[in-house]
Amino acid sequence: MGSTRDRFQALLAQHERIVFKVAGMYCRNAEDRRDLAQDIAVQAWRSFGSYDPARAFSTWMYRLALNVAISHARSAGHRDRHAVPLDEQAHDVADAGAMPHEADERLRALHRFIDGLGALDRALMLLYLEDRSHREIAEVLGITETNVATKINRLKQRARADIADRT
Amino acid sequence: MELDEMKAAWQSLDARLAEQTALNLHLLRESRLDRIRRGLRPLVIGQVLQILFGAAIVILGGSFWPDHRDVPHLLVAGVLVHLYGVLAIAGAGITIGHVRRIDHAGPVVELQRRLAQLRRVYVASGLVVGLSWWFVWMPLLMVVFGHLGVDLYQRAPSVIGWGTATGVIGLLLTWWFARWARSPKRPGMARAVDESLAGASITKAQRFVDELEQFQKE
Repeated sequence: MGSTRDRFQALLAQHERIVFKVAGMYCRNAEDRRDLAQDIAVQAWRSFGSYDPARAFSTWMYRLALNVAISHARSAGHRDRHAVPLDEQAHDVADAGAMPHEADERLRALHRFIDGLGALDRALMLLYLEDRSHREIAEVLGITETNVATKINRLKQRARADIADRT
Repeated sequence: MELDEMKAAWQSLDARLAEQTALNLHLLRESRLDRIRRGLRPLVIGQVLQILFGAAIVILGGSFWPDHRDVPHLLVAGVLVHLYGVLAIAGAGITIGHVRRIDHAGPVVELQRRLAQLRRVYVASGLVVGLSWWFVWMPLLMVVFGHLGVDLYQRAPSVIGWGTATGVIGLLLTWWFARWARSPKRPGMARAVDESLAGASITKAQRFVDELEQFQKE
């Protein structure tokens, strides 16, 4: 049986996609994304003692990563560093030229929509985009399943209105 | 475009995000994780130091006033110093209590609420313990001199008068500085003041707690 450190590293490797996705949701700039991913991984190691192996590691990781990302986003300094023009952000993430035009446009629209959301709605949006069940979303965020359903419907309406406004 | 179509766009980001972020996690794997885990927490250390400082003040004040019950100004000075020490210990104790309840893997709404509460308590405690120094130094000086057998108030009553005036002016200057430093013309300083002990931090933390309540209710 491996050490706690080995177990942590193995679990992190299996679930590192969660770290990338959360960092991608809260940071548009590649350097900030790397910083945030690093912060999440460090905090995960610090909190690993509280992880109950009987429960899903993905839920634990989503909670932790979102908590770190929201705190990160709320710090004034961090916010200032993110004040880059929209075009630059879109270029950074969409990496123009590396994908078909239509997909590129969809990504830009998605990021424009995400940029207009608050920290908590972003967390909900991420879990929705990641196809997590209402039950798991409720567990991660600490709200009821009914509340999750209501909020997702509102996000859908908002997304529709957002796209309509821009076309 | 519907939200469901956004899902497809989001999934297409997988490879790119992994590629751009992988290097960092790779570095983390190679770094000394055990040292990171044991890393000292500056906030808690600061609060422990405040408790030790408060304990010294309590001993100073608490050992003074019971022996000077018959001299009103010395009694008041001793009690004020004693109370200040208790306040410093309580503020730090409450802050540490909040820190201990922080579980970064807790449900998002709950953890963010706890963090906002911690920030509120930490800033409020810092404000009370810090700003009261504009006045506390006077009774403290009276107690220190009293322990040496000198009644400062009787020897130099003007010290208290001037001290009180200085304290009021100091408080007003602090207030003015906080306003000046938080001007949008000085964003760097505004951030530093906001992040340290401006009352604005409490308001901001409270606003976020309200936002969380709203998010949970809707």
